[in-house]
Amino acid sequence: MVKKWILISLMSLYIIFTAGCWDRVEIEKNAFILGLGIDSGKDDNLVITYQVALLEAFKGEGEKEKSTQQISIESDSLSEATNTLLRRFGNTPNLSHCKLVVFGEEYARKGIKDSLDYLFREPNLRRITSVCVAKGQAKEILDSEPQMAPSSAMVIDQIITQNSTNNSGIFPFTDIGYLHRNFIRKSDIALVGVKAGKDNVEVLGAGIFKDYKLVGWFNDREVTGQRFILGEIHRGLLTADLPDEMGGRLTLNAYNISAHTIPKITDRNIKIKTKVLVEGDINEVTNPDPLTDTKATLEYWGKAMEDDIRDAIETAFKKGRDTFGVDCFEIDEKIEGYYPKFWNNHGKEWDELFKTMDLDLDIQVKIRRVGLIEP
Amino acid sequence: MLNKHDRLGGIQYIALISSTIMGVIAISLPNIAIESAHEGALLSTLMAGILATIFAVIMNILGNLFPKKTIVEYLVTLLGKSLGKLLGLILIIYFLSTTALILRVFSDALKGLLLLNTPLEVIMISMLLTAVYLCLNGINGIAKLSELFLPIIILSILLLIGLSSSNFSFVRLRPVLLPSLWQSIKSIPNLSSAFLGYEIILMVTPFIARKKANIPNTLIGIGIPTVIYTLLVIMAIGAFGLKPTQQMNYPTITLARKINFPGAFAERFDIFFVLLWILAAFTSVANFFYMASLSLVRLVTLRNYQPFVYFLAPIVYMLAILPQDLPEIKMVNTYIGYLGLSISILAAVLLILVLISGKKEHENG
Repeated sequence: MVKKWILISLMSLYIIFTAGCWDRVEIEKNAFILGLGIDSGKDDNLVITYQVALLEAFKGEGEKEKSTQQISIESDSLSEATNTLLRRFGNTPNLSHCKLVVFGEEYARKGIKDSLDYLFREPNLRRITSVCVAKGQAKEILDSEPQMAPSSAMVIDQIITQNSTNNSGIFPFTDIGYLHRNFIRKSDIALVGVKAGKDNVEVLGAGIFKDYKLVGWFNDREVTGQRFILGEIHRGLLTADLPDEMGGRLTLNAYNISAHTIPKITDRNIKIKTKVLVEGDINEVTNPDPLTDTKATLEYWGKAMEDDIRDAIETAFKKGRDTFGVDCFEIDEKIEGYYPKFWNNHGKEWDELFKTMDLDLDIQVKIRRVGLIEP
Repeated sequence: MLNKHDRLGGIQYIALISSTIMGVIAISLPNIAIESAHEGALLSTLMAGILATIFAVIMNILGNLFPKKTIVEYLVTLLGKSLGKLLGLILIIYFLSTTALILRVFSDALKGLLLLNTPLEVIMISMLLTAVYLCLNGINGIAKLSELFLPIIILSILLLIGLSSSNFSFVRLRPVLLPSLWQSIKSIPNLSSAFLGYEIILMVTPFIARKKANIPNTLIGIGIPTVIYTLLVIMAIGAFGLKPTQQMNYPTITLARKINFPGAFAERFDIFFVLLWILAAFTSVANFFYMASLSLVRLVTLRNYQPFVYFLAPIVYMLAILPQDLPEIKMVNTYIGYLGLSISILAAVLLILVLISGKKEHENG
């Protein structure tokens, strides 16, 4: 009888313990940080801007109230700034939904190496958090309130991850995982460039980093060329300029692009063989019907597109190799994969070896359809 | 005490082996493989699995030669009282230490990843008490639970591997496909600690129905972890590359975090995976703990193991608390790996002894 009562009281005690959790933080007490911006402050300090979600605006529709709140903190390091946040904000910062990390242009030019360790080590920041570099200050990017979306960090993250499939000028995969992979291998990187407008944000080209310092920018066309070399391009709108009588400005809606790059090492000469296959439909032509024969027209236009793509890739490659001296095309990863022994012996001299590389392009464009009217 | 109804079936035998092996180490396996073997990581994992298979088959044959006894009992029969009991004691220490190690690694990982403020002791005591409760019910409860959890564990790891294929790039995998043989062989002892758990064959054979504890079932039982671990190493290297994986403490969780459902259908897949990994760790802890208490009760030739379960639980807890930080845990992991390998070699030596001296006429089927 006594045993039964002991058992019942133990069970009741246990129910009290199982009803909660030691690490419990009430959901309203969580300050969900959607975006993290890093700028340089005075004397080697960092200015960290946190974009905190205001939960009421996310709950339902209604008038557009402010849905995010930005807080800027000047401090020595990222972890200290997150700690300072506890002094200014009544809720617990929660980084597990952070969508975007923005580096300000000035800070990026000084070098982003110091803040990278926090981004890699923090258990709550995920590897799929997008990273970008701002033309201007990171604070401006996070401060802007885009009209069609609750938060600028979410918008940029979605542009980078989803719209890069369709628009070939958006550099596709800059996230913390990409940073980490290249940081360990001491490779150079490119990060998406973002510009803040009055009430919107725009993704423009890519920032090129040498040794984790910003050295220059690629514009949209060069990013397209870069994506061909990387092999990370699936669809896009490609344009070519033709002489007026042959069509004027030609736009191809390429719905299927496959690009592969294989390095080939022969007797100390490294060639990058890129094979590109593009299939698309004609979207827009300024002066249609240049030749009466449709097939000849399509062939001519196909050749013109091939030349244009070749030009885009070569421009990007030469700008990376000669102007900046940066291998932002992940070619070193490919060489490590295809020629591991060569990489073990010569990998340390990659910075010089890279400058001696040549491109070998094989481009094929097939125009399949022309839309509703004759070309 | 053991009648026909208590005998377990073939599937439960497979489940016992697989769920004991597949446990807490899955979370950092690619890291361990690359750290010790560099380019030979893949080959090393595969070879460690094959070595474990060979040892498991040896133990199976040995166990079937003494169908009604556990190893602590026929150790005494084969080697005499003093040597047999001494080796039995070492076996018990091995089982206890492994229980403590798995408990500690699991609690450490959980605390670092998810439950930052929860004290380590609370996590360990919760898991230990649950394991104690399970072990009190005997081999039946443990076998049925392993049988229940195993498909869930396998499914979750396969889901992880399948969903990560979008992050997989074959180029990054190429360096491990042409490894140096010597380096792979040298690092097998380090990796074999990931495959420990097949010693359960030695303890559990008396409880399995006669025809079911056979070699095909053993091969399946140990083949499942081998295949899954190899696939895991392949996916981790393919998704991250060789050097980044080496730097990560928990590559499997990072792999889970990288999974992208299009359209933000589900954001944090890693939490789902961690929940199922808790199941895998729990079956390992409970199984090893049961082996420890069963060995102890058979060593002192008593019948009721329940008091020993209560007696051993605080010992496990105290052992688990001992390591102070991450490097010490890794050191304990290495030593236990060597101890486990030695026990497997001991089993092989015993088998040779038995076959040579033909003592098997002492046992009837």
